Amino acid sequence: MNALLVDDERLARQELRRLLAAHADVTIAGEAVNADDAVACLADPTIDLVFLDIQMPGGSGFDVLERLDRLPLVVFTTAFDEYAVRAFEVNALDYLMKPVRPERLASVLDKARTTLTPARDSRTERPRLATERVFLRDGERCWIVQWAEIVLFEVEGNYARAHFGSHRPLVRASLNALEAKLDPALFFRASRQHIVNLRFIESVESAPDDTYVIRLKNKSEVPVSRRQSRQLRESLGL
Amino acid sequence: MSVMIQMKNPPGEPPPPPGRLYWICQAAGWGSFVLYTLGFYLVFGIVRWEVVLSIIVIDGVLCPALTHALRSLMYRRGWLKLPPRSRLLRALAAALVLAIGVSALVLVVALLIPGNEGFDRVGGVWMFVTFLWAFGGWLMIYFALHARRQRDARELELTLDSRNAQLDMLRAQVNPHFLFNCLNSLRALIAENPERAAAMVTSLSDLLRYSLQSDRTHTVSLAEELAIVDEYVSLERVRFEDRLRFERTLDPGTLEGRVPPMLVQTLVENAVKHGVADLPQGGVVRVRAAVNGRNMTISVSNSGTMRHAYHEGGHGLRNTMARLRLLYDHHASFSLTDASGETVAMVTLPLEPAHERAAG
Repeated sequence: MNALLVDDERLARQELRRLLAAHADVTIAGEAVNADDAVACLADPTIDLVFLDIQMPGGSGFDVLERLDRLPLVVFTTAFDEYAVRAFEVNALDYLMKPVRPERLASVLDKARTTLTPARDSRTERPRLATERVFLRDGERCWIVQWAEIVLFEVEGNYARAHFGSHRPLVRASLNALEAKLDPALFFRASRQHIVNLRFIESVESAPDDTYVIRLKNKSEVPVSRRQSRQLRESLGL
Repeated sequence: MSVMIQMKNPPGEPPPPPGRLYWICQAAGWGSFVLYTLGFYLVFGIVRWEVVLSIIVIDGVLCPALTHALRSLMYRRGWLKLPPRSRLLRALAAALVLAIGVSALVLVVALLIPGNEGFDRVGGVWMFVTFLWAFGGWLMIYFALHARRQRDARELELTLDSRNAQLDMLRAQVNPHFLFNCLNSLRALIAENPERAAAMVTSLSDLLRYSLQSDRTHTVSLAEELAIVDEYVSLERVRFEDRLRFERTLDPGTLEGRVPPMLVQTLVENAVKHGVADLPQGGVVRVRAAVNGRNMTISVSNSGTMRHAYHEGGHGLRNTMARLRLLYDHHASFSLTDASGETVAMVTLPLEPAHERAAG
């Protein structure tokens, strides 16, 4: 496992390094001392795991995650804002309270190993981003979700609103930028307003003017534009 | 064989020294009773000096003395703590006994005055009823005023209680985020530099002890407070290393000035949080203290502007303001300004101890 340590305090990084020395399969790929530094280091796709401090100068750990397209496994390290970490509703790997208990670190690493093994195998087979996770924030609430779990993206101004479960957080990217990033085998651009996840389509119904309406499993309906209807017909072999 | 069942009275207590209102009521009440009686006799044309003297002695001296003794008895027997019904029954009995006693005395005195014809049956009964009213009225007035005073005392107590509770809550405490980060650095330091780790434990103990002992109303000298600020800064230096720079400028005479404990510490902690922890390259924290007439001005500044304030950051400062208001009322002031790349927190407070004002 390749791990990155992010903390503004040298002694805190050193302590974590000392604790990780007991785990032979963990390689420390680097250290970052603030948010910008962390974002730069995380551009390296070989990093599997990041130990991320929440309160740092020049941006919090959450700000770091928000700036990433591709998230490694995230373990928050925090002195006292456990509550901030608990705000996570979905799928944060875990958090560690500082000072860190060695047994607790061991169990976090166990969890990381089981999560990473299938993901690693699939990474070679599947196109990128499908199983990758993304960090989403809506006010005080945050989520780490897989792109593949997002049912629908809907345009909102210059950004897009992601629909998954009952949540509708804003994604700071345009629909066009998202379309370029997303796996075309999984996501379909239905119109200028919508990108739908093909896995969540319940039915496709004909509509006037040779177009379609997509009914999604979460009961929402998305009209397909005329141009995209043609493409849909071809790809579904209708 | 009979068993005497004694009513269990609430424990008695010696009577407290009476207040001014008590003496005013005694003087006004019995004074007007004397005038009323004298007036009554004058109307009937009885102007013998023996009668006048006996009225003054009995109504004006004996009656006040008797009721004063009754007050003492009520306290010793715990009557004032009884439920209203039992208290009223006892009061009625006391008024009856006193009225009978004093009426009997008056009858005897009237017979002793030479040439005085004494009381007829109607006059005697009428006099007894008058005394009964007087003692009964005295008791009712006493109970009413006593109840009012107790209510006032309770209200005052409640106000004080809530103020103390507020001060307790506002008592600045060591920030848990700081504490746990400190412990984490300490854990690393134990391996890296055991001697420094040992010194860090001592500093941390001193800071914790000081913050736990910081009483809600008593003040400390600025010198004592700054000693703790030094410990705090030395601990933060372990965390931030050369990112934290600390300077202090103190006017002579300020070191003896009194401050609420943890006041300067809270401001410095806040300055470190926003001026050092939030800036990647760190910054400077400056403490200045100056005498300003009968006041002392303490300012704590940090590099960086308030926009760096983390959303929960205002808590410590709001706390500080509330504490100053409770302890010094309008005699202290607090301001937070943001100018030329520096944030300055400034407190002005009287040089003399705060608790005298707080008690007033």
